[in-house]
Amino acid sequence: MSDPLRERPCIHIVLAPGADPALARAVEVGAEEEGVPCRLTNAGPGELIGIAYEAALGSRFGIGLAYDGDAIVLHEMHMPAAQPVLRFGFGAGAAAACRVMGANAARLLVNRPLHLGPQPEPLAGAVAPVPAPAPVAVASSVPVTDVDLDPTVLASVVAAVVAKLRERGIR
Amino acid sequence: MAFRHSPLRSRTLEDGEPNVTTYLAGMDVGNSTTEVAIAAIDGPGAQPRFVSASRVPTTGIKGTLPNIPGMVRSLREAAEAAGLPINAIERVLLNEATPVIGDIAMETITETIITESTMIGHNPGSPGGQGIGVGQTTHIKDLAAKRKGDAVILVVPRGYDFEQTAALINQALAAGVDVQGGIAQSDDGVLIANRLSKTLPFVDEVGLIDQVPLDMLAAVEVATSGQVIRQLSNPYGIATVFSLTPQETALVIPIAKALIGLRSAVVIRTPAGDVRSRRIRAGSLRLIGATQNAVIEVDAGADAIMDARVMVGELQNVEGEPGTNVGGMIERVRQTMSDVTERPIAGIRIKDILAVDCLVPQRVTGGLAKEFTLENAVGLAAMVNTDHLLMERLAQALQHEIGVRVELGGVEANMAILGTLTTPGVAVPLAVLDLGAGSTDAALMTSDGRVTSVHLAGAGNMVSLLIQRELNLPSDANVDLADVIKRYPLCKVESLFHVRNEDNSVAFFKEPLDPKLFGRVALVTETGLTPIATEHTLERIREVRREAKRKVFVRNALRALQQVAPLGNIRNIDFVAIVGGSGLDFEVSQMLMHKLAEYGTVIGTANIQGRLGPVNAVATGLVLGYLRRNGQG
Repeated sequence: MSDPLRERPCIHIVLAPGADPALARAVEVGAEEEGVPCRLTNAGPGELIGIAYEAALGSRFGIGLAYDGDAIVLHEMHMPAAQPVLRFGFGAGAAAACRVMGANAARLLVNRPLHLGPQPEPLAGAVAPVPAPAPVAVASSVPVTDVDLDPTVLASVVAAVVAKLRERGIR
Repeated sequence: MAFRHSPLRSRTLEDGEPNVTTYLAGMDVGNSTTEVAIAAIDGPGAQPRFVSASRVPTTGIKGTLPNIPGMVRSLREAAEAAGLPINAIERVLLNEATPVIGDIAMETITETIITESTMIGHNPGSPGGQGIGVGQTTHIKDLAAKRKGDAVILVVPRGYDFEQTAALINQALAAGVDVQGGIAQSDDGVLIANRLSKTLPFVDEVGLIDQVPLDMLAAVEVATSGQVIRQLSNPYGIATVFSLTPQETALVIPIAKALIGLRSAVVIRTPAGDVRSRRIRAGSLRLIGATQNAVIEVDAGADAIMDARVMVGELQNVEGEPGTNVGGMIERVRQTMSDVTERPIAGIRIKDILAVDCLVPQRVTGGLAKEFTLENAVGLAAMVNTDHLLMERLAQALQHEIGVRVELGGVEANMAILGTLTTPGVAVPLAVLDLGAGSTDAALMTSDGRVTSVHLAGAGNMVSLLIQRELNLPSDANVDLADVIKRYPLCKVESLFHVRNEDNSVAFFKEPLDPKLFGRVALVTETGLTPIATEHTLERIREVRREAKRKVFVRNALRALQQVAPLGNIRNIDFVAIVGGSGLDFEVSQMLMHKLAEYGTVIGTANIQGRLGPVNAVATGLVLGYLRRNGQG
């Protein structure tokens, strides 16, 4: 990272022991898509959550990320040190988890709802489509049963239904 | 008051044994809740002591046998709270002749259909770049074949990495190809745009990218952050981009309308492209009054319908024009009522309607990214009168079930007034406004004890329906989201430690909030914060909620009071008390107070028995009414 960046507030990313340096790119991409700068900083000794907390304390935004070989952790400076905001295991794919967590770190800053799992949800697109209102449901309240119907009864039922439909102007 | 039952006196009351306590229960089965009040009478002539009350959801539709489980549960809960077995209760008094049942329906009267998909308008969280670009839609694999000067809109399916895409575009730009913008399937818009040698608009998260027609003229617009698109949401803007004739411009109005307020959009011109805004014939309503009729087109809007409703006076029935939307709607209401009351459909007469205008988001048929557009709709609440037989049948069934004597105890409106009079600081003459779930009722008791009452269509359920449809909430959810939104104030979770309430005050928390809540709009409930799973802003949800309450409760309160007021003038009513489940609402009573202040009327929420708030008025009144009839009140 260049020197000017050092002056800018950033989300801090720390590679804990055992981390794959290539994954840092995925984290950065996740944050970039949300428009928030981030940079790599050096790790102190300790376990993952503690390292993430240190990263958050070091960041002017108060937001830090740390990952090792198994998981990535998002931390915020006001949180209790032992309680990270979110932790994603790498079970479902390390790169995806890193990118989504990078996006989450940025969202924590820009105040957008977080992704709660390592797979991005199917577009935060808001309003679930509501099925179109059913057309005039005429017979919907009549339970269909498996009884043998007398053909004459059946015929009279059909005639009644047809009469009803006609009465309502539906053909 | 006329009573259809001879006032049978209970054994202990007749015997006049001193110091023997008897228990009476009043039970009110409403559209939404079943309420019980239990009173102890310590010997003849003693004032009743109310020992317990309960409120449980009504099971089934009001007035039908499926109500029994709810009635039994309500009675059991009240009896347990009083430390009594059910059979210690002398008798149960049921509200007489549930006068009304209501139903609600809503129909959109406009619809936008796009054949040959020609537009993509949506609000991905983060579109890339900015500006407007116009060119031929080109698959990224064909980019290399483009010649110098060709105007191009790139189509980038998932699978193309953003770095690779950006490199290809930079190469093409260097070679003189005029790349104007792009459409991406994955959430890469910003990443691609950030890596280009010039600023280009990129719309991303377009799910059905395979359906984007290639080699067609298209326009892509992305607004700068914090702004909305201007060119493609303006019919003349679209006409400018595509050199449209005035006739063609008229056809793109629905597109422009659907794109209003978005941050990014794509419009593609296809040769056979055709978008139209189909106006579904809404049909007309025929209001049949005692002395005159009125026919009113539903398109004319809710105000016109309600004006016609006032003009007609006492309503005998309502008919919808057969073969139209409103015809189907009215028939459905009558069918439901016919099923419930087990009366032939021809005998169902609609005694009141409430019409409400609203704008509901509808999926654009033929859109590529789940586009929604706001369509006009009208909501109707209708109400029919039922007969006494229903409640009598219910009383018999309950008696059979619990082995305690059950009888009908009096007309609901009168009982509501008797119950309301237990509110401290209240006296006759008094008007009671009962805001329930299914109907809005008003009753006025003059100083000589005469009661006039009226029942109107539309109440809490209508408000929930409006909220559900205007915010396009999932209707099949376990918990009725609209119903909860109606009940609780909102807040926005601004950090892991604080929220901003809808009145702009800020609340801080000692413990960090659940990350699930972060950045979301949430409801402030008794049990904590509940996130609302929509992308609507707090302001929008609040606006819809308050507007729905205003359209239903405020309008109906005025209608109802006008009808019971002496000389039809609300100014002639001095005191109004609000009762009913919707009286518990955190803002309706304030809204009504605000409105009725114009008439110089005092309005407040009742406090039944001095402690129950606005609920249990009828159940309490049933007990008092029984005692009054038997010379004890």
